[in-house]
Amino acid sequence: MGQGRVELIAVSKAFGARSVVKQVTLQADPGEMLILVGPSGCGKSTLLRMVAGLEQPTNGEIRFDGRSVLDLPPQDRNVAMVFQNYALYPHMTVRENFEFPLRMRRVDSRERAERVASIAEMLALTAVLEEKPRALSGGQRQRVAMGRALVREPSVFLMDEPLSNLDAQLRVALRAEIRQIQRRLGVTTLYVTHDQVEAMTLGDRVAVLRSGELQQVGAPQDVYSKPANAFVASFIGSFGIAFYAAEWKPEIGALQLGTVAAAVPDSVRSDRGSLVVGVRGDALCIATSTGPTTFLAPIEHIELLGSERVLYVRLPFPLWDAKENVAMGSGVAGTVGIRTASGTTAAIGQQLPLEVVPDRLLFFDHAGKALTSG
Amino acid sequence: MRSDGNQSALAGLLLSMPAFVGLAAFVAMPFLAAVILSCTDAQLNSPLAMRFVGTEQYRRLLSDPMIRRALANNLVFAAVVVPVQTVLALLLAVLLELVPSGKRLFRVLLFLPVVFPMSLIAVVWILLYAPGETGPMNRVLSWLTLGGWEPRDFLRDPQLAFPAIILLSLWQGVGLQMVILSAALSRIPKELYEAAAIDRAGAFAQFRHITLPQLRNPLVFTMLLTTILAFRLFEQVRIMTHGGPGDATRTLLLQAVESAFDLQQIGEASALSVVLFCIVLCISVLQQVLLDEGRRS
Repeated sequence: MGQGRVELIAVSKAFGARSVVKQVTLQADPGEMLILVGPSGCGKSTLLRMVAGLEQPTNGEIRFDGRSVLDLPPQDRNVAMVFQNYALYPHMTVRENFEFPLRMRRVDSRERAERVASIAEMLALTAVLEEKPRALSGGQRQRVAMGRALVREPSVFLMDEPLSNLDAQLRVALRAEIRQIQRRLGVTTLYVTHDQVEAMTLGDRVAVLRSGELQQVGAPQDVYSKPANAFVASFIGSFGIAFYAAEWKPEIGALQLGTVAAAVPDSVRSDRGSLVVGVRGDALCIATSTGPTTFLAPIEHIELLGSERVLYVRLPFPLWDAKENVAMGSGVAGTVGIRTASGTTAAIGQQLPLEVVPDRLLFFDHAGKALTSG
Repeated sequence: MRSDGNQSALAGLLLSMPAFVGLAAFVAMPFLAAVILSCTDAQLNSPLAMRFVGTEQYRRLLSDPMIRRALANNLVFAAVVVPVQTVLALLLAVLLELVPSGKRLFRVLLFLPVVFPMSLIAVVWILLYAPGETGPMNRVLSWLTLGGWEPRDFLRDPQLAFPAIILLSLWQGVGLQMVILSAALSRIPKELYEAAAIDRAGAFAQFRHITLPQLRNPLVFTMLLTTILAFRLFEQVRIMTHGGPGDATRTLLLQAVESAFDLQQIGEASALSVVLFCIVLCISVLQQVLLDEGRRS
């Protein structure tokens, strides 16, 4: 099966004058599940297609296990790919779809039959082996696409938004299934998605891309709690983030955020004075008493998620003019979602007493770059 | 609900009336007349009364050596033109996909012969097939064989007349097949080829396992259409050779037209038309069956 280390070194791709991937350097370790995530048009699919050999990079180097593969056509890279629309061979049965990559590799018929049988069983497709793709449900087709990629034991597994054509429930179920299978087989996997929830739940590591540029690579938790910049901070996370302009006041030894003075970690106490604070819902708690660190914020929107209820509040702080430094976030623009137990009584328009949790705040300079807090 | 359904059915019926009337007047009625006339000895301008002769005309057809020759010619024509033209059209369509630019121009050029009326094409090709050293086709062949070609009179040569007709028909017919296949070819999703490449299929394997199966229905359609057209072979031979020399280029439809309008044998011509109709009907039914099968799978 080989090692399965994939290295991209300063890879760029331009279509004519339009540059879609810019100087991306990235490595996937053997057996790792690396998620490429970003808004549509960020170049993540192009990156994947370059690894597959379907596109040639304009510049840069791609290596599998230390060897350059740029001269190899897709046929010789021993990668398997799951396409967004599955690209199943419509004139072949499920069995023939599974057998095709094996036939092309001249695997003998006895071994073919064995491998097809075991893959079909693993993916619960045994009953539909003789059906053509059009007779299958969306979830089954997705499984067939997975199976066709898995059946030949590739050294690298590439998935291009494999779940985006499915309904939400099926997506969650198949997400777990993909993760299990990938762990079991231990095949290096590059997985492209625009859905940050999918990225966070599936990946060993997550690579965030924007306009062809790599923003940050890291474990999901690190990318969430230590975003490299305001874009990553706004793209990752489900309940919104808002950015405010704040002032460091040496005379009181605290950060002046609107009317509130917040204590902050030493590392951000700088001489720069003005900085940007990113506030997510988990950096706020509902205040039980009033004091100099508490403030009132109106509830603008309420989302009921069964076991919990998310209250979207607008904080009374001066908003940072983010220009183009942030992603189109989830939730209502300029508001922050606070998760509460579903029993909490709350109504739209109500003024909620809040308090900031200083060590959960995120700090950036005015260009959106994170100020490292150690 | 029910009255709504009835009303829309009535509207449908009314709207399709003009087409039905047209079909009845110009297809069904003449055919019915042909069936009836084929059982008589009807002749145009004959002083004798028309007599009912039963299946006599059909029996005569089967034993007529000229008719047998015509049928054989149609069969040879189909046997040569259908495979050759299909392979040629497929080749052109695939090559067209590989042309980086000007695809539309090439497509139009190749389709042009289909648009011209056959009578015009026939006249042009009579000039191309002109006898003697100055005839363009003779010149081309002489040039290709480095002077080894003896000038021939293609259209009056018993061995060459029918091949000459076949060649011109291929040239005229390949465009239509090519355009249909080319359109179908450009509809095959690109991802299928990408998936096949990743599954380690080379160019030939991709053609065999993706292109050909994806073109199954258009291929069946165009092959059977060409077969039907092969049995309707008429204008070329009527204009260029009149079925000659001897009966070398005689075809069923030519025979039907000649016996009706040159020889005034309406009964015989009707019987021939009915036979032709049955042949074409059989091919059409076969086509429907094959296409349905293709759609189901």
